[in-house]
Amino acid sequence: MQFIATRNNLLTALNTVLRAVPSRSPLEIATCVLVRAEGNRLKLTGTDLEMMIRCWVPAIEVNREGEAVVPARQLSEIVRRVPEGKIEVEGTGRSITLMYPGGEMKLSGFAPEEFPSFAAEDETGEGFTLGGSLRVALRSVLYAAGKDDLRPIFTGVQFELQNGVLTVAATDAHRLAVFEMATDAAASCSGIVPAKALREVERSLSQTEEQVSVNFSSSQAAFAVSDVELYTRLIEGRFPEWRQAVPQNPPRTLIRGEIGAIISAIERAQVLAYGDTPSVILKASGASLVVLSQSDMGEFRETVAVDCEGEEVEIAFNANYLLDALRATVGDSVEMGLNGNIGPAVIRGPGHPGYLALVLPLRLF
Amino acid sequence: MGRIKVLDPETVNLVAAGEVVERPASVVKELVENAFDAGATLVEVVVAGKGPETITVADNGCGIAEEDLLLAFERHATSKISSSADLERIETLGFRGEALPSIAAVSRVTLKTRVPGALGGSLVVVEGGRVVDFRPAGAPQGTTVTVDDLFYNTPARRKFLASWRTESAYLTDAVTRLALARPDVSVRLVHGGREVFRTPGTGLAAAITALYGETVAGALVPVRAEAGGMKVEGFAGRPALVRTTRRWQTLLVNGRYVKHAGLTAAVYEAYGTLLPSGKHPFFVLHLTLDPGAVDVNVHPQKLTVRFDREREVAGLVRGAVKQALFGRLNLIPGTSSSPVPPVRKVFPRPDWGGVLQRLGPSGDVEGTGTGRAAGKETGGGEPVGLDKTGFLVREEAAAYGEGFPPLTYLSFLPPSYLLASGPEGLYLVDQHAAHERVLFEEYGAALARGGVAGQLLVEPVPVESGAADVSALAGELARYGFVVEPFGEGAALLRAVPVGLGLERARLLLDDLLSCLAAGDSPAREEAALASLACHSAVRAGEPPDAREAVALIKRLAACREPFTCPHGRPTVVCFSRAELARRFGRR
Repeated sequence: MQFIATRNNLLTALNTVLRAVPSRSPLEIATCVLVRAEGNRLKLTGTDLEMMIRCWVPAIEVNREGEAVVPARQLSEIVRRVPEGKIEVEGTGRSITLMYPGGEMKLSGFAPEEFPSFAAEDETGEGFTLGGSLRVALRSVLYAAGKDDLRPIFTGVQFELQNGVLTVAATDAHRLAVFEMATDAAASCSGIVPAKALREVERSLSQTEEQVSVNFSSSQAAFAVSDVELYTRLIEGRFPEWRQAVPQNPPRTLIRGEIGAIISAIERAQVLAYGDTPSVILKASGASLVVLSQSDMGEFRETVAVDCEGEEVEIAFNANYLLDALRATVGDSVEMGLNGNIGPAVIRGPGHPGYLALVLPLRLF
Repeated sequence: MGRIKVLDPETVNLVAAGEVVERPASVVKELVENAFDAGATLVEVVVAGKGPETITVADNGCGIAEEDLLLAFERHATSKISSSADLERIETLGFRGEALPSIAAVSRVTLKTRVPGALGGSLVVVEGGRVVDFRPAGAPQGTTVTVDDLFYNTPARRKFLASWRTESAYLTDAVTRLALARPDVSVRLVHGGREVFRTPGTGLAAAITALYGETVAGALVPVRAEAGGMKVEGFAGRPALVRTTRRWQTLLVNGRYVKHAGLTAAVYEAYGTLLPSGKHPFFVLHLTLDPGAVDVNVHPQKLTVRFDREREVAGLVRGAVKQALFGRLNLIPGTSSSPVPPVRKVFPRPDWGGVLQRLGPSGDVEGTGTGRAAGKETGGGEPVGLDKTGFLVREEAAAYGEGFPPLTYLSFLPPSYLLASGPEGLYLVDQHAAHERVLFEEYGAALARGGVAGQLLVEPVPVESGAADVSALAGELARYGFVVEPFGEGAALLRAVPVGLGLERARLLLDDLLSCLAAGDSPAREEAALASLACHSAVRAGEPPDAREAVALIKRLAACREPFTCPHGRPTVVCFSRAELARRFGRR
């Protein structure tokens, strides 16, 4: 393998695939990147065995096709540090030599055949394309996915396409976020995608307006956005039956107000809350929403002007959960339906069709 | 002819001797106590031979006048009390008048004595209770008793003695306790020609150093409290000094070594969660109270005592030890035992007024390193008062945790340690243990207010409840943040979990709690349930915190009442002092 590429192209590709490369791994080759020169392009691949990111970038010239596997961090560090300009790379399987004006560096790695493969590349499944609005969908729900590795199902996002409607849902058992949108896709598919992979998809989408090609098979999913492909394993298991948790009846108390005002009040209330779970209390009655918080350090009380219909209620929440759900709501106004002091709060945004968030309250003493 | 006969005096003596003189250690104990009662300032115990062939106890006390000498070997002859009224106010160690005759009944005793000022002394030899020699003889001031051939005339007792190795361990142990009981007397034990120890007679701290070594002495905190005419003084081991046996515990009541389950339990209660399970604290505590308020005449060996107001005594001991451990002291392993100086004082003057002065002349203490370190700490203990009902007044919350040093977070060391710099050097905080401690106290406070907040779940989760009766426990579980409903046989529906706990961990905790709460009404079960709650909620090893979280955790730990150990008694913080680092780098 021999090619010449600009330092910037090489660096962009490395930074992209590096997001899938673990910094430490019992399998040392997993901390490497697979570099392949092909046609007039370079193909870089990195994987942590759960997810794989592949990035294509143009080369200035490819003199000899071929591939090499070299340590990812070291390669990206050296490329980042060399001056802007051309870099020439020559490789023979287990090692490459990187040449830039005035210097060279030889990096040894592994035989390319040993690089862990990701079966998804060949597997055929349901393929379809989605518009850039997938990004909105992902942003609306990713925050609600859990981080608890003990229960992997909660670290995933349920991804469902049926009759042209895409539904994504995430929950960590304490709150739920759902987004539904209409698409042109005729296919149907369903699976639980690790939130970690979807965060990378969302990141790629933030840099382009292009369409996303999606391919779902029984155990894996692939997302392709312009020059970046992301493959991920699906999480096995039963996703919570969240539809049953969404109250079907009209809420007992309905609050309509300005998102910004409510968020600011809760943020101020949170100043006093400390510990691992900052709790705030909402008191809805008539035309006002009173936000309260209390701790050993003092007490907080603020009245926010809102429209309030139905029962009076006093209810406690984890402030962070409430803030996450409100911040993800697009637009100026929000509707919050409350269902007694142990029922879920249902959050919707008139300016954010398709979005629904459920935050379960705290039971305080 | 009747079969019941009055025993001849010789047999009576042998029977009675059995109660007092059980083994060589009891001989030494009786003789040394006699020496103490004789006002000696120097007592020497010499044990010679491979078995207990010769035991010599020599003192420089008041001696015995020639005319009293033979009387001393008569049963129930004593100079220490003279009437039954004196029994109510016993201030000497001996009083029954049994020691010498009992020993003399089962061995060959040679006693040499001279009263101060007398020109010559006397010598008496008693064998099996019979005087075989009595004559004037030259003798040093005081009394020297030599016991030969112990139990030569009671072969059964002799046969049932343990191995000499065990017996000599008992003997050393007995002399150790005696030396601790009277730190103002210099006690020397020579065993097989070798000096086992010699206490300087300059106070308790010095005695402990002589008996247990500098390391132990350096890891002690002074205990001192006084209330209602009672006084407790002494030293307790820092949690780093916990032991696997109770041998390192000495409780002295009015200068007498005793065993008392109630008072020992009070010390354990004071340690609370500082003690890992199965470990025992080190302590030497002198309890001084009105001789009329304590009955020592329960058993001839006087190991057992009874108190008139046991609850108050236990309360005083518990409060004093607790105050010492959690007062202003810094209990971090690796730090020097001196408390962090209060901010307003630049160079706190050591307070010599405490234990040392009371328990003996402090003249030479300043010269010994550990004595000084221990002496400084006496400033930390303040008397704990009793309220009108006689129960211990709860110590001011503010006094807790004051000894926690100000730490500046530096970095994270995988898998679980927060590195921080502080007054003495490098501190390592175990994030799991620290978080556990913080949560233990926060949840405890929440429980005291009514209960731990519960986070309701999006979707109720069915859980196995095993044999536990969920509907009966539901109310109690709710206090711990769980909302659980019965859901058929052996199953339950989980609707809410304690705040800050992921679902999966909450399920593990629920299993623990169910078995914990089903275990019945033991007072420890709430603590066990709390510890379990804190343990499951706390951050795991291997979960790196971001810097903000780390700083916040250290701050919360510092605010804890008992910040130095986790609820299971493991340390939360250890210190590598600058001195130790310098040593390791060969700079010193």
